[in-house]
Amino acid sequence: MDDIGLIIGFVFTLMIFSYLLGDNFLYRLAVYVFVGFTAGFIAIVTVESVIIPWFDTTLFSGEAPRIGLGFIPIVLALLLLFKTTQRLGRLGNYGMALIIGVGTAVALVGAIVGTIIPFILETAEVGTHTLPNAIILFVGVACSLVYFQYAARQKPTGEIVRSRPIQLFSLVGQGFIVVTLGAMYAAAILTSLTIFTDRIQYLLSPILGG
Amino acid sequence: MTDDKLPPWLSDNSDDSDENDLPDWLKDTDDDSPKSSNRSGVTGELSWMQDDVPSGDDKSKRGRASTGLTGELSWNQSDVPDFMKDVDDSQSSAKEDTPDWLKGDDESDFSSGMSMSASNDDEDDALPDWLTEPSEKESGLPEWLDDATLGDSNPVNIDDFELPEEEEWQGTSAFGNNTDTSTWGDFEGSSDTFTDDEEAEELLGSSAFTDDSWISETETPSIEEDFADLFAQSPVNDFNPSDLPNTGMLLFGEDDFSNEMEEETFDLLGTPSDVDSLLGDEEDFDLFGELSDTPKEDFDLFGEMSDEPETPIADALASDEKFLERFGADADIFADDDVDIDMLLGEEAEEDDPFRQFEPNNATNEPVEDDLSWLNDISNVPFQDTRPEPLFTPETRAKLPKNPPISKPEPELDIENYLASLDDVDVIPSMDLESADLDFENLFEDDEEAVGIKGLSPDAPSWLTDLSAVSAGENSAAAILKAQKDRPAEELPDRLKALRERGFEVQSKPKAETDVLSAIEPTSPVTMSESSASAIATVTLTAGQVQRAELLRTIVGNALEGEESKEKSRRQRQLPVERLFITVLLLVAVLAPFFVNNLRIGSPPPVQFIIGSHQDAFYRSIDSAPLGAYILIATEYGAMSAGELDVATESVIRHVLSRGCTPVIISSDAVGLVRADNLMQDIATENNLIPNLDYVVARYLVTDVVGLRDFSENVGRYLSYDVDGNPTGLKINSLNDFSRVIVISESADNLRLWGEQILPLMNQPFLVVSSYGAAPLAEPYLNTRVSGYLTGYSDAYTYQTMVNRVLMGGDILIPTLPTEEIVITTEPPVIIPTELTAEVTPSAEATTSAESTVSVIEGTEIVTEVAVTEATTELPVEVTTEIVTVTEETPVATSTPTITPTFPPTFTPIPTPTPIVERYAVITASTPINIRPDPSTNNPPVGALRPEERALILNEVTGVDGQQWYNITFLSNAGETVIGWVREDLVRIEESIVTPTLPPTFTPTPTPTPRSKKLDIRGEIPQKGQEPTPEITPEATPSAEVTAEVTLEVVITEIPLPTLPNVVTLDVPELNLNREIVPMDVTDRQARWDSMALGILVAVVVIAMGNLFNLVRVIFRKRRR
Repeated sequence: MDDIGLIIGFVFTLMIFSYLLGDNFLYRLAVYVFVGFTAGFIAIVTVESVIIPWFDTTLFSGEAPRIGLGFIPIVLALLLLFKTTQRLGRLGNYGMALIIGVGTAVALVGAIVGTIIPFILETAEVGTHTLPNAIILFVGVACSLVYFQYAARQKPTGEIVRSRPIQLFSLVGQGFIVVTLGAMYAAAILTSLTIFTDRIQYLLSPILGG
Repeated sequence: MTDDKLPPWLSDNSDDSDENDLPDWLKDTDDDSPKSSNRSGVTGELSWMQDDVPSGDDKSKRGRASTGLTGELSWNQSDVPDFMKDVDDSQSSAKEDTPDWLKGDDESDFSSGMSMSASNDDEDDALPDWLTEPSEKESGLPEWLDDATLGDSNPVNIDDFELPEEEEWQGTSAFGNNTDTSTWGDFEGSSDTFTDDEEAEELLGSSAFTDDSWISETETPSIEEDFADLFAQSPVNDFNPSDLPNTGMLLFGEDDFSNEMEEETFDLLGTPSDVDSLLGDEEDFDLFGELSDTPKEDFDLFGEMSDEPETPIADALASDEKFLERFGADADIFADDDVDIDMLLGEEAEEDDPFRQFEPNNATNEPVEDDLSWLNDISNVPFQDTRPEPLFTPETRAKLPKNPPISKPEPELDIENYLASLDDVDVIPSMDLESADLDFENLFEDDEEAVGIKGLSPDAPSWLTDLSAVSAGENSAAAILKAQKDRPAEELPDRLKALRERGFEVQSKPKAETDVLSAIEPTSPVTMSESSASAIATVTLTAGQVQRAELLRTIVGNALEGEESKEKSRRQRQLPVERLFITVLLLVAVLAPFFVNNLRIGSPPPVQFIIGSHQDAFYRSIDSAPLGAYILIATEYGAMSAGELDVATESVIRHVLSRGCTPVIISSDAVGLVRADNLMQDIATENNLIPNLDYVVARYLVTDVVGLRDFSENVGRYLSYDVDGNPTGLKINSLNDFSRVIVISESADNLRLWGEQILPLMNQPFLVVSSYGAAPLAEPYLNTRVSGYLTGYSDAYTYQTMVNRVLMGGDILIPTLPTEEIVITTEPPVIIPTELTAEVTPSAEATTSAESTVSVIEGTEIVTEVAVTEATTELPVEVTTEIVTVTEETPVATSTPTITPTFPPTFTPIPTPTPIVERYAVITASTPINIRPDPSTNNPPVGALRPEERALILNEVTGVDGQQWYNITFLSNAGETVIGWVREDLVRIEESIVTPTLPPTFTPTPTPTPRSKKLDIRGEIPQKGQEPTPEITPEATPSAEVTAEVTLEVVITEIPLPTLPNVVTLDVPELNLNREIVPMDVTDRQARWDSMALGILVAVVVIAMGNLFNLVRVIFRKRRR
């Protein structure tokens, strides 16, 4: 089975690499197979590791409160299926509201507590950094935020411009953002090359005997 | 207007009028046939339209004149009412027949402005008297017209009407400037009815109404003649609109409406006061003056259009005898006063033809007599006195045939027939496209002669031939365009100017034969030639337009190109050359290091992290994890990033296992969880691990942030089952039950989620392994809030090196903290001679951990390797010991143990760390030498050493070749531990004494020798004479009998020397998990690193060169603009 898996992986790797010649049937086939397998596997894992245990602890527990508790997500999940119809789609809004509301609340709390406040504190603290680093940090954060501030005024001539100081700060912030994007681009290239070399090594292993 | 003037049938307005009073043509007849004389309309023929050639005077009975679409106009003069007959002074009957309302009476009744000439020329028989200039008494206007008044307030005075000058009449025509008056005829002094009236002449010029020529049809009467005569007349001031008869009288006779019209003012031209406003002053009156600014000489209605104007319809009429009979100059349509409509239809006398005045002359070019005397009838006739003569009197009506014969219709000269007769005339040029010389370029070129339409018939309309007037008389669209004036370029907006300039920059492609129309319309037989931009015969393009067309073709894509160019463009689209070139270059750079060993650029990652770095903190954090601890490992990456993060994941797992910890694997990525499960299974198979005991692969976390939040608050529930659904048996209820939390993620967003949801709830070290792509955005979280992190493949490479070295039992260059486990080899090194002086200087101060224990080392114990673990950061303190020298005879052990301790009987030797002598093999060859896997040269080498490099000698044997072989170990350049064999003649031996450094927590167990001093490193130094308390029992007991007589006061009890064990087992707490983890396979790792380095180099060069090239191109383009 390991050998079959190796052969299949080898073939699919070559099919993915065929994209170098342009979009073609082999590439699409490989992508579709991967997406399909991933979706199917996720479904299986979800059923096995989430749904079935949930059923075992609630519906099949034999206890009335647990059974009732277990029916709530089932009912909401069934209501979600009505979103496919136009006439009864409103019934699925209850489940959607729960999902979106809870997710938004959790994400919002985490963003405030876990990101915004700590970053503000880190930016304000000078003691943990050297002076030049602290200055660069503060200037970069402030100017980047100013760059995304689109407040402007309209001149009598009709032209909409921002004030000079704001333009200056936004220009500095734009520079920081450009550097960040460049770093992200370089990091993406590094990641891509790392993965590419791994695949090349995998393809050459049968040849090189590794 | 009196009633007696009106026809009887009009004078009686009573409804019960006798039908007999009506003209016959108004009477109902039973004949409803389509061609009944009493039927009219679409399907019928007007009776006066019936063909009836009257007998008698040719002038009066001219038969039919065919006009109209379907019908015929049959002007039977005998049927023409008298008032419509020719009125001539010479024909008194004609004059008498003219209704009074058509007779001009009093010219004073006319207001000014009326410009109609009326001539009292008695010789004029064409016009009724009322149209002629009325005399003072003998006004040509009918009585009804004379009697008519336009109001008492302001009667119309004909004298006030003046025709403009002849120039004004003729000069402003829009149809041409040519005015050839040569054929107009002589109206001066002719028998024109207007000749007697000078004003009439002034009004009408040479007399449109005094000369029959204007109404007479020559064989080909000219249009100029017709209209020129009309407009050339001098104004006649004698016309008195008030003399015009009542409208009803005009139509129906003078008697019928006389009663009603008596008191009314017939306003033929509007109110008297409005006549001036209607016609304007003399100065303003210009009938056609405003239409053209050309002078009279230029007046030519259609002169410019054709040299030989064609009037086919007029020609047809002119050739019709019947029409001529009816409307010829000789026709006397006003001969009879009683004009009966039936008379118009039948073959009546000529004098009954009311329209004979208007008949053209016959084809004999007989000059038409000026028969405008009838105009005189109305010149001085008061309007109110004019009444139309009845069309038909009872006498005349009786004369009418009951059933007028319907003549045989002549062939209809309708439009279809007329057009059919034009087959011989090539009015429309034949468009022979095949033979046409098609040249787009010439059409719109300003300086080139446009090619017109060839094959154009000379008989083509002049307007068609005149289209090319601008370009040498040829027909072409260029001529039209040339006549147009383009907008100056300076007036164009900047954008259009730029577009125009760009259009000029486009170079046209060489012409090629193309079959444009055939490509567009395969069924078309037309083939194009020459210009590639040719489309149709008559369209030619200028050079600039060809260029623009080519530009559009390149932008849109020319479907009319040849097959080769299509294929070429298709290939270019599908296989871009730049992409292929870069791909091939990158492939070569990546593949080469796998096949070429020495193709290395730069140095590999370091074998160990720098102390104090975040990477080193990561390693140390894991390395210092307590035994049996649970470490949470989150594998938050999928198959895409597996190539980069699998190395770090495996290293972390093995490292955790080697530390005796239990990894708990969890993930919110189903694929990542499966990969981790597969990896864990491989490690478990290699190391005989038990799932859910030695390791746990927990369940899948759903819905990202919500799942993480739920996990942080319900850890036990999530970890109660593994990925297969089996119970794990873990007793973990919170995140703080974990010793460490390690997150291995490919995305910064995932790291952010863990940092927001999990990190604030933990007090334990939080470690991160991220990919290169996630590092820039995860840096704010990594630098400040995590205990340590690894980034990318380079850190994973080094980490793997360090972990593998530990797993393989090798040394790390930088000493680490002492561990709990001490490994002692069985090959003791050479010991130092027994003459020792012992000095005990306990100066160690160290903190100990509760879990670590130390053992007492006997004097003969040789510890070659000591590995200690300690949570403190202090380095172990060296402890020097002092050996007491005994002057007494020292018994010599006769046993075979390699260690022969000599202890005074009264002296308990303090076990000290015996210095270790290490032997190293130094390469003496001038070239690198191979390291063999066995003491022979039969097998390929496992490594290489350069000259003057050193390797630790582990053993030595005699090989099959009879030479001495040394078993050595060393670290390769890649940081790998290599064990092999080298021949003695290639190396030299060097020895070095190494004193092992014992950890302060190392407490050796004292030996049971009575006279030996044991050094309790844990801090208690036994005094002399003090009985040592053995804490450990060495396995080996000395076999030597030591007998000595001590003269000192030290009481020495004979204690058999213990046999020093070769291996000392420490009394350490039993580990829960005693694992031996197999090191990772790191073959071809160097080649992969080299290929990655070369690939990065090539990518950087390509990107830099591309950006530089684009920058230069932009600069040059801007300069060019």
